[in-house]
Amino acid sequence: MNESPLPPPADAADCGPEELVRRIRAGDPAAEEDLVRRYRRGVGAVLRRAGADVATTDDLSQETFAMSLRKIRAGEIREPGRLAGFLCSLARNLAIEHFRKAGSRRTAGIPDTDFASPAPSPLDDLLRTERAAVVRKVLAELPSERDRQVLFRLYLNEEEKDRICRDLRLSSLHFNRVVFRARERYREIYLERVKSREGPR
Amino acid sequence: MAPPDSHWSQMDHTGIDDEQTAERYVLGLLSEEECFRFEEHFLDCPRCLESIEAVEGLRAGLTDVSAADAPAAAASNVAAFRSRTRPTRPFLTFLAAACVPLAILSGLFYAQTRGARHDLDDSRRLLEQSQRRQAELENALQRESAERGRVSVEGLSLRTAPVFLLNLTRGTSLAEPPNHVALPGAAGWVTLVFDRPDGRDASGFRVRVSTSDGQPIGEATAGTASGGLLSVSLPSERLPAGNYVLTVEALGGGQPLATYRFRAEAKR
Repeated sequence: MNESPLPPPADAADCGPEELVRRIRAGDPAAEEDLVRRYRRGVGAVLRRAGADVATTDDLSQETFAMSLRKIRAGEIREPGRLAGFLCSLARNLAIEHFRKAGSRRTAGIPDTDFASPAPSPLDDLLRTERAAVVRKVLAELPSERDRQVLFRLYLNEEEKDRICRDLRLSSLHFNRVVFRARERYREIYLERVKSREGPR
Repeated sequence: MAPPDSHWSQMDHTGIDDEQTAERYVLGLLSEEECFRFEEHFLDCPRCLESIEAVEGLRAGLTDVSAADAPAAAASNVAAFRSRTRPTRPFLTFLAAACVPLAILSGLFYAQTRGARHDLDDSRRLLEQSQRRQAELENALQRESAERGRVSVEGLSLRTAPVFLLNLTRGTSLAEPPNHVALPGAAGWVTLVFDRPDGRDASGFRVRVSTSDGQPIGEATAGTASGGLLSVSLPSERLPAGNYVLTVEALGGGQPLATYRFRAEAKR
């Protein structure tokens, strides 16, 4: 449900990570594109969880792939089979370093002329409106108010599953079902809207 | 050849779904080891990646819906501020003391009764909060088609909220707070921006605001602004002129990571 139009991640027909590393080391430009195409969404998720906003995620993602390609070409990947783990680790470290540098600038009293405004862009507004419409539809389709409470308490109050089940007198199975269905239904509705926006091909 | 999977096999998504692994990952509830394993897995797993993105969208959408149907809308990179009302401590103390004559002679039984009462009060309060939120949502669903495209005055207020950069404060000095927040004349929002705690590999941060004498005002998950800064927006009506403390903690709890003392005063 990435808001920007990114290509889908690799499917089973793509080569394995060892072959991908081999091709990159052999100088195959298509292999470098495959690397980015295959892992860009996942690296983005790692960076978002590390606290990066949209702009920072884009910047750090580019840096992650640039650095990973340099290291692959230089033969510094000891375990090509664990390419995914290498990329995750690299992305996390770049995020930590990014925030550490930002904090140091603040401490040193260096004026920040790039001060962020909380005002969202028109595109942000549009995406948020669309996202809210999808969520309202998901909530409206839930069979009971109790099920809606599960979602609000889990995602907004960030309460533990055990507490929610105890308070709402839900079984663990029911909780799992509500969370799974809401997530899947959000995904389905969102994809329908994206397809209808793109139109027939 | 498929890459080796250290923990979750490609076919073990039943376990991942049953344990709400994607949800717990996005909410920052996985241990560091679980988090690293899951990341290494989902980078090569389209299904889990889609689950993560769906959870991110659902969570953000619920925040938007909740904020839009509450007093003001939320922006994409700031967190809506949720008030946290608690019964005052003196009242709870009085209530506990009043229960003493009714408790069994054992001192341990008395402590258990008071603890159970606190738990019950917390559960009831959270349930009431959820029910209120649900009632607001039901009303919003009925108004949805009429409201679509209407520009929210409250949303405009949030987008034009004054922004204040807070400097880190240390200790519990009684001196004048170094940070000053000028409250807007009309009811609206103020946005406080501050440093991401330095060198912290936390998945997210929780912000608590209280008066300087410890009365809680509210709490929220910090939003991320550019340049590694964090931000939170507060309704200005919750900040009558006075001294306050903003505390930053890692999601999942623990010791406070940073403290910002500030004084709110009416704009001249």
